[in-house]
Amino acid sequence: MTFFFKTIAREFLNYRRKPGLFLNPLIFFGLVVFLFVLGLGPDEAKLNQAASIFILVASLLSVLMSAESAYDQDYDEGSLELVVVSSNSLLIYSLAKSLAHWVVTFLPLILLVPFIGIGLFLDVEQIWVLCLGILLVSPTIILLASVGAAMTISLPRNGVLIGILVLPFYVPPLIFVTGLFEAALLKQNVFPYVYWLIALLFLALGLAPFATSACLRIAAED
Amino acid sequence: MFEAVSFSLNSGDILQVCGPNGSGKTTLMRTLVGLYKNYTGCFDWDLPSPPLYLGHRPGINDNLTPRENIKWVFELNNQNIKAADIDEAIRQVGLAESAQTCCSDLSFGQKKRVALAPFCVGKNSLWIMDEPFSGIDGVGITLIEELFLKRSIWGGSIIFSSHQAIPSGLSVKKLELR
Repeated sequence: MTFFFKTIAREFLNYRRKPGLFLNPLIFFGLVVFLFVLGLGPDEAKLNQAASIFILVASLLSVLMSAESAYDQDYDEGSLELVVVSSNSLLIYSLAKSLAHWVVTFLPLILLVPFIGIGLFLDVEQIWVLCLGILLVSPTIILLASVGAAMTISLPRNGVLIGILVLPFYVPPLIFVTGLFEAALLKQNVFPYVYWLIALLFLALGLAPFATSACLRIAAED
Repeated sequence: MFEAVSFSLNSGDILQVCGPNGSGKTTLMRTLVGLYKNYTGCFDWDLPSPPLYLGHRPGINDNLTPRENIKWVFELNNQNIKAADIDEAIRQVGLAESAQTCCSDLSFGQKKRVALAPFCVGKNSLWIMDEPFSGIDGVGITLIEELFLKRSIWGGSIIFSSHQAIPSGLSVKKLELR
């Protein structure tokens, strides 16, 4: 457990020294949302309808953008080899890295959503539901991105490949978050969607870290 | 790649693995630390802690300072290290003035010295070092040789790969790969 917290502390230090690692995806997210809003025009109903989709798609793309650098540096510098040699658990290591990645990418994003929601004429309840949806889906997104990043770690310019590998797996979470938001718009019961998102989260939590650690081991032993 | 390699190492022994390029020196080092699994044979040792390893890539994070990087190596090995010991290691490798500088601002040779610093104060009974002399200047080479000597007297064992001729002051076993 100590190794878990020490890895997180090291990651935060790393992000603090190189703020571009988390600021660039955030700026990218803001720009994509801005472009969507410009494209849709000032129609309140249209913006209400599409809010969940473009906020989620923008967040997916910004996470994929930052996922590329999640393990690359450790691999290139040889830190990953040291972790493997030290006989510490790669599973713990990948979980700690994913948690740190979630904190620096999704936490600010979730904090931004209420302000974006106000700009898109969403009411308070819809904003809360959207925040809840992103809160529930974001760990799944990060865990899947982590698998993609670990699978392509030894390849140069792996960003596009991560997208190709991972984006198909984002379809179910995307469907449930938009379903959740639509249910909120129509004042219907949102809980079935919440339960599905929680189920997907546990599925990702149960499988993705094992896949990530296996890929990291293969890359380090290559 | 090499085959039929056999050697034994006692406490305090230093083993130099040498051979032409492509003979498998790095592969042997990586096999010993568990980074290469596609081999037949076995090695048997009873170590209280994993070996301290220096690979081709030194494992130095550019965004961290030498002090933070050294601390991380010990954290990986589950060893508690005092701040004073880290400072002493940094002093020994000649980086006292760069202790608070991010490693991205250091040269390759200086980063290699950061990677060598844990060897100055670590308590691991076996060191495995792949080309420790590459990218290091004359002063650094002398430093490594002194480290080897101290370690050998202390009773630690060292396996390293290098083309570098080791001065006569050190008793070094040789393993030639062909």
